[in-house]
Amino acid sequence: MSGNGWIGGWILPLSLAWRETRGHFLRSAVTATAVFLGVASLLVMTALSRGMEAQNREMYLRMGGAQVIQVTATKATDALQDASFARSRGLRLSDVDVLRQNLPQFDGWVPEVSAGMGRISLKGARVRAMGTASTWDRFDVLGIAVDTSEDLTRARWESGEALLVVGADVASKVSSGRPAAALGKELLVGGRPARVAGVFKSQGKFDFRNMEVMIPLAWYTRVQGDADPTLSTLKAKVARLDDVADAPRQLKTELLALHRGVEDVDVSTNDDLLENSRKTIATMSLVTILIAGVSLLSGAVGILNVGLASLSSRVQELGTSKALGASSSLLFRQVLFESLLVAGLGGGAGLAVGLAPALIPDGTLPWTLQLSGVDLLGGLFLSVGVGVVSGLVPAWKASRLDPVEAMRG
Amino acid sequence: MDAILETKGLRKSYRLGKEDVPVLHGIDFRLGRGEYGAIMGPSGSGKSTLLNILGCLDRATGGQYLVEGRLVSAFSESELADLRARSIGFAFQSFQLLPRLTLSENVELPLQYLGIPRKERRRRVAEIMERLGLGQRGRHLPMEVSGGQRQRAAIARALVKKPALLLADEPTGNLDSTTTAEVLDLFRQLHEEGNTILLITHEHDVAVRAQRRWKIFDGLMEEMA
Repeated sequence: MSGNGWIGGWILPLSLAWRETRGHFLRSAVTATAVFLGVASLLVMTALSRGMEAQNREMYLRMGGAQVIQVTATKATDALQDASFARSRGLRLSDVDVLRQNLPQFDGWVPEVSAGMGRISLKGARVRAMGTASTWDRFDVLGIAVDTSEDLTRARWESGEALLVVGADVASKVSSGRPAAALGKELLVGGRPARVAGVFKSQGKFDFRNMEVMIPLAWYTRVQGDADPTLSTLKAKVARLDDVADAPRQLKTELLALHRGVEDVDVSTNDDLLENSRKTIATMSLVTILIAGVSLLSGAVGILNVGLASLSSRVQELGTSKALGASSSLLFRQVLFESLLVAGLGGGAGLAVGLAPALIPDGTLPWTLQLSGVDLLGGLFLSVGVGVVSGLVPAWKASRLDPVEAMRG
Repeated sequence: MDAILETKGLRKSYRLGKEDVPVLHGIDFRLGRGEYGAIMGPSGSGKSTLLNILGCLDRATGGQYLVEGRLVSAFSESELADLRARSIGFAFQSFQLLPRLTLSENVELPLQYLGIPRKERRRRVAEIMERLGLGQRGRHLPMEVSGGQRQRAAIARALVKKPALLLADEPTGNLDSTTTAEVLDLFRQLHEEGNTILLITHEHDVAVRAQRRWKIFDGLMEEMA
């Protein structure tokens, strides 16, 4: 029977549809734009979200994983709170000794005083850097890897020697682009000489530690003349994973007692941070899906509109095809393929853009863009779906044409 | 001589509002294999309606219609499409060539509908194009050739599948007198080669070239001497 078989069934309608699409290439390309934008934005944002998630997981592990709890000093947000905060001394180094005694379930304590960005000046180079004063435990608890000189020992660090561990960017700037050459260099930090005893191992171009300068907390207290400085953060490591669930509450209770009932610290786990980050990414993904959805819907409406207009303009041709023996189902497939080809054109271009991140070298962007074969298949499926949905009505109308009426035009 | 087409009391009426308007009032007609017939009639006589039914493009509302002995009144849409694809070749007044296909591709199309392999299709297309004097025009689009060449291409498209019947609807209606003569000569040759041809026309000069002639008027048909 005509219209059946492999040639009549698929190749012929596809070939005729391709001629029609090619014959109006500009129109087809313009119509396909919305599908392209939908598929491309979806894939790029999927790749970006995946990359951010992967980086957050890496960051989570670098911050000590599930077992590290972070205590951050907060500031009063109104006059009432200000009065309340005055009753407390705030988060102090002396708190750590009390907490260490009272909370044996924690086996690592990392007090930190952060100078913030841009407040460090180094001899011979003006470097924007983020200063942190902390104890030796910071290296162990947070698993920080450092390229060291022989100067860098726990004893020297804890004794308050004027030592520095600097990030790769800082090291590069003070040693003409060769980080390793920074080791042993003497720099002025806040007008006081200190020796570079270590360089943080960089995890890539966008590693936040690249711009960090870390000094011993003992040196900081001596220079400041304050044996009990206010801490910016305190990181505490829970010894056993089983105790993690209760640890934040216990820590908070203990700090409340120490701070005379004033809630002047935030206690959060890395899981909380990871969860917050996931929520942000999920929100971003949802917005992207909405935008891509609107784009794809516009694409479908556009293809449907062009399909119907195209059908009206060549009713005679289709009627002639029927008179020559084309079956209704063959015309259905032919017109459906036309929509599929236009959607495929847009979707294909969108997939190409989605694949492009694979060509970007690692470290060029803050995030590694990650896209799986399933995502690409998903993009392809969406394009096909748009083509089918928008092509069904014109295809059905084409198949129902009365050849006599159609040939009259 | 066995019949290619045969109608018995063929009737057709159209629904206009709540009324049935009869167009064909019971036509008995027979065309044998290898015959060359012409149906003549003025506008509104029902000849186009008859052609559409004979070409299996439309259905009769009464009577019987047989193609090569098969009763087509009971055929489904897809069976009718198959019958058109295999047994009936159409040549239209306005040629009805697909504008985006070359002449060769237009001629090849019915063979594609039949699922004939590419090599065989190309062979048959080249043969018929050569036969109809279009050997050098295969790559041209319809708009790039003359009216006579377009009609030749349309006839080539109708004949390439070797149909049982060539049905021509006012095939010279859009042609000048010289080209009309050429096309009529072509029909004569095709008839001499054994093809069965039925053309519908309102021109007496065209009808007289046929072997048998019928006149249709007000939905009734009779054979002319």
